[in-house]
Amino acid sequence: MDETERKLLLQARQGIPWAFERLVSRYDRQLLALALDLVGDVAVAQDIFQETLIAAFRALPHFRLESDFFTWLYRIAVNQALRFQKRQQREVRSQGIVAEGRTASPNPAQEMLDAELRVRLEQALRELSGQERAAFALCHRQGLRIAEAAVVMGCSEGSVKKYLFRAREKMKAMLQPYLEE
Amino acid sequence: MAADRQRERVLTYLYGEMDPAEVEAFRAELAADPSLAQRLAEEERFQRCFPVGQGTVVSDELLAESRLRLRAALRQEEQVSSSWIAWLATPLRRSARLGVRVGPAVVLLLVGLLLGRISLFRGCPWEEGRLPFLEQGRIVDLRLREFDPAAGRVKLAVSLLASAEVEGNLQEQRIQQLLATALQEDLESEARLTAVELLGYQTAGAEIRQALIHALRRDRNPGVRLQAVAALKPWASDEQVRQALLQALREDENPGVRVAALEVLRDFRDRATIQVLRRTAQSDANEYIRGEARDLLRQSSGISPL
Repeated sequence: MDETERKLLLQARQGIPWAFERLVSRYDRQLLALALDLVGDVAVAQDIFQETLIAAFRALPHFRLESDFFTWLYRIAVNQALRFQKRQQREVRSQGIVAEGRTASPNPAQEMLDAELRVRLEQALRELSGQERAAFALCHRQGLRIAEAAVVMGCSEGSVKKYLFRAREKMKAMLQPYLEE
Repeated sequence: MAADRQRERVLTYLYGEMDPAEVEAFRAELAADPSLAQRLAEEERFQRCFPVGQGTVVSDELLAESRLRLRAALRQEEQVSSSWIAWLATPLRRSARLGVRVGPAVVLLLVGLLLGRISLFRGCPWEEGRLPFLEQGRIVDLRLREFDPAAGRVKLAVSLLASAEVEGNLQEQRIQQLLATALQEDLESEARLTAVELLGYQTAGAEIRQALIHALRRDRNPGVRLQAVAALKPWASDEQVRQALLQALREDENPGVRVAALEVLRDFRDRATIQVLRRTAQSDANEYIRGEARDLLRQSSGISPL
């Protein structure tokens, strides 16, 4: 944690919103991306993003300065997403599949295939359990180390590997036709 | 068990968790064990389709909108947390009524504590393109001192705990940030009008468009909402802007704002716009607006207003 971040954190702990906004502005894009990877729906991801940051703002007085702020935020986000998934009991909305910021293909047929694949990927992700999806989002989509994902998810590295493997197996089964091409 | 171990090793390899010596040993094992090689090939096929580290990319617009929502939620949090001051003040007021002399002294102490807390806002590090005083608390007023529309040069007087003057160009991020923030604060109408008018000259940024959409949807002053419609006009083809304009046409209580929104939406023939126009033609409270919506629908290749 650098000096500016530490200063902002101390001010944010005193309940100063601007300091908190500036502090999280270093990570909020990644955090929103994680929320989208965890739930796949823009509106829900925005809710999780906001709930995560409000929960973090409230809990800041309990945050230990020697901990990693980024990991702490990620952990709250994963917990919020898992809570949401339990609440919804897999009743996910079908709208808002995210297709932003992908590399555009110059080939329209390839573009269509890519779009279809994204839809299938989203469908496959919905079939995963909360923990499997979290492990996949953190390690595969976000590129976190397995050890980091274990800290975020609050479990052992072995468990993360287990969830990750299960997620991959389920997805391979569901996306088989695309994988063979 | 052997399968579990094999699986774990493949994953560890694919996610780059092995050190160089382990990688070398794994590759040697691959050459000797066809089943391991086959498993790896399967997993690599998956990996080629979905490479690691290519998660969702968040657009600037989505991020700006999410930040605005967060800002509003944090403001609410701030109001809730400051309510403890009111809770403390209640017995003090009671004690003052009873003529207890210690009351005012404690009030002074509380004011001192509050000022002490406020003084923490000071000493914020200066960063390129940012206005440090903007982060020293809530803006309470904003006035236009000078403005050269051709050059975009502005001079603004900003009141926080104390006044400050800022001079710069509308194209500068710090000026845009100041105006966008002011537009969302609980300022006098005149200040918000100034902010929305100036932002209208510079609507290219996502953050500014979000601030203008916020003003169109939430500002209590119809003049501000009217200015926001005008400022958003060049961006009407943007989905979020059009949704805000449609909402204004559908729900704004002020007929002037609804007329302005209708004017901007005149050239759109998408399904959502046609639906809102139909509804407007049938049920808008204002006769002129109903007539305009009907005319527009007739012009749109003879769409029936009913």
